[in-house]
This record gives sequence, C-alpha cells and structure tokens, in this order.
Amino acid sequence: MPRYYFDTRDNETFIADEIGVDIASLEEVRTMVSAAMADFAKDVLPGSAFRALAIEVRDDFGPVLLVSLRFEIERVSAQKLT
Amino acid sequence: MPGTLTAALVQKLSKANRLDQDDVLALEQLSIHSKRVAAQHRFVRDGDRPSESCLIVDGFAFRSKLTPDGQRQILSLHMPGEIPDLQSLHLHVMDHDLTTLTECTLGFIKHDTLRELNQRRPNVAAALWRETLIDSAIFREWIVNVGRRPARVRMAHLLVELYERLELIGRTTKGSFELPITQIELADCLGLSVVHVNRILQQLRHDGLVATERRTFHLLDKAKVEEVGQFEKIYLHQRPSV
Repeated sequence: MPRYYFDTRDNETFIADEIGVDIASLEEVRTMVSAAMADFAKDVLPGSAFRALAIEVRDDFGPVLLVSLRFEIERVSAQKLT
Repeated sequence: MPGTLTAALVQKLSKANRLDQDDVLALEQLSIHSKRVAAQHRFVRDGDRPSESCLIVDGFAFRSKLTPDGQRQILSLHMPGEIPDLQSLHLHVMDHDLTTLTECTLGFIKHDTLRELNQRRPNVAAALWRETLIDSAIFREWIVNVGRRPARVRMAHLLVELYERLELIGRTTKGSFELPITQIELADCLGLSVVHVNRILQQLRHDGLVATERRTFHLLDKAKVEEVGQFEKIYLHQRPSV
C-alpha cells in the first residue's frame, strides 16, 4: 500500500508529517483528508477570528493534493458583540 | 502448572482490592482453559450468548461497536489481568464485540465456575464487581474524552491513562510502555480521523512531549502530558476502598 504524508499549516505554523499513513487508493486519501480537515477545524476554529488551514498531501514522489480552508469572522454592523 | 494462567488475574485484582490468602488460593485454583489467539481476531461477537468469560492472560484486546455504515468506535482497551466480558455472566446477550489487538493468550472461565467462586468467596465477588465498576468509570472518562475534549487533549489523556493502567501491572519502564496499536485503532479509540491522529502525534512529538517507535510510546515529560491531557487519576480507582 502506498504511504501518504499529511503536512499541515495552521496560519503560519507548519507541521511536517514524518510518519505517514498507508492508504490503498487516492480516492480513499480524498475521503480521509476531508475528514481530517473537519477534525482540524473543529479543534482550532472555536474562539478564533481568522484561520487559514491547509493540509498538503504528498507521497514518496512529491505533492499529491492540497486541501485548504479559510475561516474569518467579520463584523458587518455597528452593533456591539457582547 | 496451577497459577500460571491466573497470575495476571491475581496481580490485577489484588492491587485494587482487598483479598485474603484463601481468596488468592481460590483464584489460583480456578479452572481455566487457555487459547493462543492471533491479532485482530474477534473472539466474542455482538449478539453472542457466551457461557464463559474471557480473561486476558497476555496481550491486548479492545471492545468495539460498529455502526450500520461500517464506522467503528473502540470503547475500551484491555490488558493482562482483565476480564472484559465479565458482564456476560449477568447480561446474557453480548451488545458489542471483543477483538484481540495483538496476539493474545486468552483464558476462558465457565460462568458456572465464576458463579460458584462468587458464592464461595465474597471478597472475590466484591472484587469482580468493583472491577466492572472501574470499567464503567473508565467509560465515563472516555465519553468526556470523545465528546468534549479537543484532539490533542484526547490523545494526551489516553496515553496517560494507558501508562497508569500498565504501570499498575508492572508493564512500564521509565515513562515508556509498549502497546502495538496502529494509527487507525487510535483514531477509533478517540473518535478522530486517522490523518488527524497522525497530526496530533506529530505535534506532541514536535513539542518534545511524546516519542513513538514501532510499538513503544515514550512519555518524555509525563507531568506535562498529564497537564495537556487534563488528566485526573481518581477515576481509575487503583487503590482498594476503605
């Protein structure tokens, strides 16, 4: 089974995956990386005002997929957030 | 040899319970038939009606449930000296699966034998009851873990719990323990995706808190991992009640 590596970015913080996960097909990689992005977001979004998240998937030969998520809370009225 | 199969059980029960010499003797003389079972073998299945309970003599096992669409949740991890399906003595139909995580030596004890033992040795009956109560205390903690803790906290909490439980049975060395578990299985314990589990492990490694080698986990700074995991040991009830 090919091994895929999932490097992540959380705003400016980059964490390289040195372990990797063995996954049978690219189709499965897509499913798994979207589930991972959902977990990632659930962890870091609460309490944030801005977050740029990315998961960069590579295999032993180089980059395979890039998944990104941008989160931003903007104030659109003059009303005070309490 | 009498006692070989029951050694793990005696060790586990006598740590957290008050047993006298006759209780220990009764446990050592329990009639058990053992079986060597390969890793990833489902030895008790959801819907089964077991007539015996199963002691883990050696190795690791887990309880799990499958959703109809094939998603697995691991409910608990089990180690030598534990009888994860002790409740089948009173709850006759299994409502979850038991699977070996690693190759295991399992000791099967007939329900009739356990019933007779419980009648004859009230301390043992109390100890077995207490073990199942501790089991459910651990479940409560896992519910909080899966339901309310962020992934990093969840992972740290699980690692410290495993360390503490393994330490009780003498299976840790200086902040390290051996547990051959895959990232997929960890993900199913924590209710997380495999890739996110991988990320959290990287993060803990990156922060110098945890190191992993094939089958060994090293808690490099255990106090810090406990802090990250919001770990409070009380729920493990590792000392006998007064």
